[in-house]
Amino acid sequence: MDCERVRQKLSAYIDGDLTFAEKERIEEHLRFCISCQKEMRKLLGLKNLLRITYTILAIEPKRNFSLHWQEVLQRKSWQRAFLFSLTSLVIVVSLCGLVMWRNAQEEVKGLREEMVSVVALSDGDLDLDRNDLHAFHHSVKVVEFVEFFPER
Amino acid sequence: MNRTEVRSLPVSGVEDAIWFEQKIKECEKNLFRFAFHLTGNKEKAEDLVQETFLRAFQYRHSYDHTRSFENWVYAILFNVYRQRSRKERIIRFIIPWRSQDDEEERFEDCLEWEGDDPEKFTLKKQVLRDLYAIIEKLPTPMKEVMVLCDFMDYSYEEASEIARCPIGTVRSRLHRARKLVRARLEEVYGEEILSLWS
Repeated sequence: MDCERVRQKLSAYIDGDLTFAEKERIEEHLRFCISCQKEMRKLLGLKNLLRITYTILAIEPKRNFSLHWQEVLQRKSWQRAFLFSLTSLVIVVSLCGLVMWRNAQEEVKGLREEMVSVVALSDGDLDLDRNDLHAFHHSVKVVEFVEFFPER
Repeated sequence: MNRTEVRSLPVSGVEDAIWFEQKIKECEKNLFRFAFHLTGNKEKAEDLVQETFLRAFQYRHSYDHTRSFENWVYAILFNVYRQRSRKERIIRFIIPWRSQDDEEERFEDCLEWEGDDPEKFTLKKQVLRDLYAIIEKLPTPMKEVMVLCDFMDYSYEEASEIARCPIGTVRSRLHRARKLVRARLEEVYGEEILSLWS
């Protein structure tokens, strides 16, 4: 085994994750290769350092999970229910708005047609009574107002 | 490490809750330490563990009672952690100036190291702080196997079960992670720093 291949397996070697034959080959190489021995010492050093870090870090959770998990679960389900209701409300309001907007569009369309027919009837010879004039003015106002907003 | 235990299935909802509470009690400290090493922050670790337990309870029926509960919960924690990391990466991409001021508290209050003179203690603390900073910057898959195998002392087989990847992948990720960490530590402290710990 050359040094390159041994070094690739050193990590698994120090973790005891090699087959017996592989382990034997690496040990045989390590017996005479000083630079690989040095490499292994460094790897062991790193492994020890990481283990020491784990041991000396005295970290304890502030919360007691086993005591409070049911409360948290309940709180979360309330939060989810609230979010679900809020989302449903927004969807319902949007749908209502959409339906109302469609109806308004339909009404405007009707009024516009009415206007056109009134203008066509009065072509050259305007003979409208008071009620017709009132309806005509109303249609003009509504159409002007709606056309102020662009149609989809 | 022997982490397998076989247990009969709980039958009622109340039994379910009692059984689950008992299980949490057994593994909460280890799980918290594991989460801390992954996130490097106490607050984040607590949130992560909390979310993990809630999900574990939600999906408790998918738990195979012939296998280790702790490993199963660790795998859930991994999933939650990966999802959160992805979210954080997206948020950082959208808001790159977002501060990370809560990351600093981790070592100052956590180290308990008796018997060293103050000078040595300061040096060791510095090395550990740098070590943690290096691990923090490792790509997530490498960091995961390093925490599992080097901090928590899991075998490659257990790590592959928890991280849900083949043993060969665990082996190569760990090898590359160690190589990177070593190279960066040696860059700062010189080639002989790790020989001091062997």
